[in-house]
Amino acid sequence: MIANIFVIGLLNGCIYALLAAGFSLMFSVARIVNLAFTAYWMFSAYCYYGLTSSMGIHPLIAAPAAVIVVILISLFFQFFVINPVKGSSMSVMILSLAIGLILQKIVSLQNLSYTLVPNLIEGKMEWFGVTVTYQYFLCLVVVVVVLLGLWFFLSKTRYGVAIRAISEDRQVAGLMGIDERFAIALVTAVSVGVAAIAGVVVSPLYALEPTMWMSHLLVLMAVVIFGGMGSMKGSIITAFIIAFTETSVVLLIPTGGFLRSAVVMAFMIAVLMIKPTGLFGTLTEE
Amino acid sequence: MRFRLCVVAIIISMITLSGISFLGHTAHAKSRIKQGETIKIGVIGPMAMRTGAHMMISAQMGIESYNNAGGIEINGSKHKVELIKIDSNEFVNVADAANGAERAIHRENVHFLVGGVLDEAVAVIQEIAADNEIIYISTSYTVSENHIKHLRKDRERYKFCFTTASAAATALATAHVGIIDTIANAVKATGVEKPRVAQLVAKSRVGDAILGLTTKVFTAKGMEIVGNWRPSNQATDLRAETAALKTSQPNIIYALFSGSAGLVFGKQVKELEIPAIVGGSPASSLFPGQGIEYSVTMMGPQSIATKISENNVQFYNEFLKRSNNELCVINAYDAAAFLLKAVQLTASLEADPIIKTLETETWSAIAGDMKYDAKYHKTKFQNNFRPVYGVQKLPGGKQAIVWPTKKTAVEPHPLVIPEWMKKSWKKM
Repeated sequence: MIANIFVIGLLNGCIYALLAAGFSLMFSVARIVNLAFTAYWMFSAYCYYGLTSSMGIHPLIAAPAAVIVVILISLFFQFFVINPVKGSSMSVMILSLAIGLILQKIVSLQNLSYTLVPNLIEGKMEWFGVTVTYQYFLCLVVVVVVLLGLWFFLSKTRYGVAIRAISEDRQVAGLMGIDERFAIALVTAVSVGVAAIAGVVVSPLYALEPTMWMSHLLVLMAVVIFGGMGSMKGSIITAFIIAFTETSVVLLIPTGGFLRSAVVMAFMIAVLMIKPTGLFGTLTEE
Repeated sequence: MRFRLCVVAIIISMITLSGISFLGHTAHAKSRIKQGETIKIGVIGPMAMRTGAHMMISAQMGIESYNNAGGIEINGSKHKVELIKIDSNEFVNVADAANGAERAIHRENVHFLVGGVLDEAVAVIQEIAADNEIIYISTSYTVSENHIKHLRKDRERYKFCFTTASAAATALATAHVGIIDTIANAVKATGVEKPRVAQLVAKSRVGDAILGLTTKVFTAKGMEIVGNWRPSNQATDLRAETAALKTSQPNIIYALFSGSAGLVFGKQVKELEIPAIVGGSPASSLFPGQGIEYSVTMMGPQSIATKISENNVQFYNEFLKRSNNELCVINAYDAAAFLLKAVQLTASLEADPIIKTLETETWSAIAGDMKYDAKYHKTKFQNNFRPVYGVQKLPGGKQAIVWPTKKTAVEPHPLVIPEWMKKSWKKM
């Protein structure tokens, strides 16, 4: 049982961590709550499916192509829809939700309601006594590499340092000559790119469904609020806590499997009642 | 000031639009048709989903023979038939089904309505059809409770409502119990004294009702329930459930799913190679390449390649061609074909003679010959025809009807259990 919880929760945790890292990054730099974030994740999974299954493109070409397409779409929406209303957080939330729904409808119009993506590699093995597929390991490796890449980008590169500077103090960063507009574009591309990679790598493990982004948005919001808005470290740690909690609910209360999200939300509310800023909250009044 | 003007302008526009709709309504003449005008059938369903797409394909097949013959003769002139696609969006928001039905009647001026999947959606479409005296044949899987209730309460108002559904919700449970019992008998024949059953039933109203019943019946029939799992129908990942299921070492997995959960269930069960026969309605069997080998699924004859009725194999082959090899998840063929046949027989679009004809004639449905009972418009199959069968998926994509075990319109096959499963059970 514990092995099951560990193995299954680990991958879900990695996926949530990847999404939460991107979401937190966007929030901490651009100061926007982009509710379309998981819709980009869903859209990249469908793009990958369309390119591989419908157009017959090799997965190694289709995967980066899907990520690039989704990044370009997100930049379009960022500049022409979100940026003009950036000052009003409510408008940003409503418009980003509308973007998510537009992406969902685009997928629905293609009659792609429920879809399965074939595994990139076939086969399976026992890990801690649990049967797991090679595709699972591939996803795990890609997710860990992307997370490490994100950490490297933010801590060791010039642009990464600039992004962090803006997230910590945008006025001082501006005085130091960092172009905020460019930084926001870069952050949008990086964070949505991370979500798009997550979408592509998990697509063979999930059944694709146009509304899947909504349930993941709920979990993602729980992760980032629970971890502390704007804290990437908090989001990543919380992602694993939530993933292991969800898996435990299914395995320990089988007849309550459909309650997995509700249990997570209840857990989050309880934590927030004790620590309103979340576990690693860094957000302060500006 | 400008804001107020905008608000006033919006209100005036809304009132004007409502007025136009109302005028459209009053001008609507359901039973009259001009020379050369088409007979319009509104097909209402979740059009953004596979279900809606299947509804349109099957309805199209139902009208083709009439259009190929130049149309149907009414008052001395021939009229072609046109399908109007109406999105009910019922899986997301049932209220949209009402909007869709209103639009079909008042904007598109349809003469008949067919479609609807969920009980709730069918109920609201029935109300709108009754209000407007439009004949509506629902295509839901089971006869909705409201269907009977309405006709019992006020036959004159609801006489316009028919269904192609073959059975009440309780019959679904009967079929599932029959299928699992057939599997259990085959499992016992391999030397397993008390077959272990894992129940994976999606959280839904039907699932809630069935699970209580199956738990009692399976236990009474000498099976052991090793666990019940209740994921959401919308789940896109069931790795936790399937891993737990494997740990429970079942001989039989009773599955009841629709939606994305059904699809991913098939994939993840196959990946884990669980030595158990899956039975029930796992949904995945209806998707090309996703069926679980040796699973026994409850299916209607429209999804079975074996000859059962006059129409089913021809329909099956033609549907697969048009749906990119997907098995038909919902069938609007019967509804469209019955309506047009009734129009042809009465040479009229008047509701009353068509209703009378629907109530009295024998109809050649895909599942076989059937009649409507005049009181509640329930379907009654004739001559040993049945609406559903238990179909085992054998290697190579072959299908074998294994339930009912007694001869009906078709001879049943013995259920096959693969050797690797038998060996695995001996080690347990």
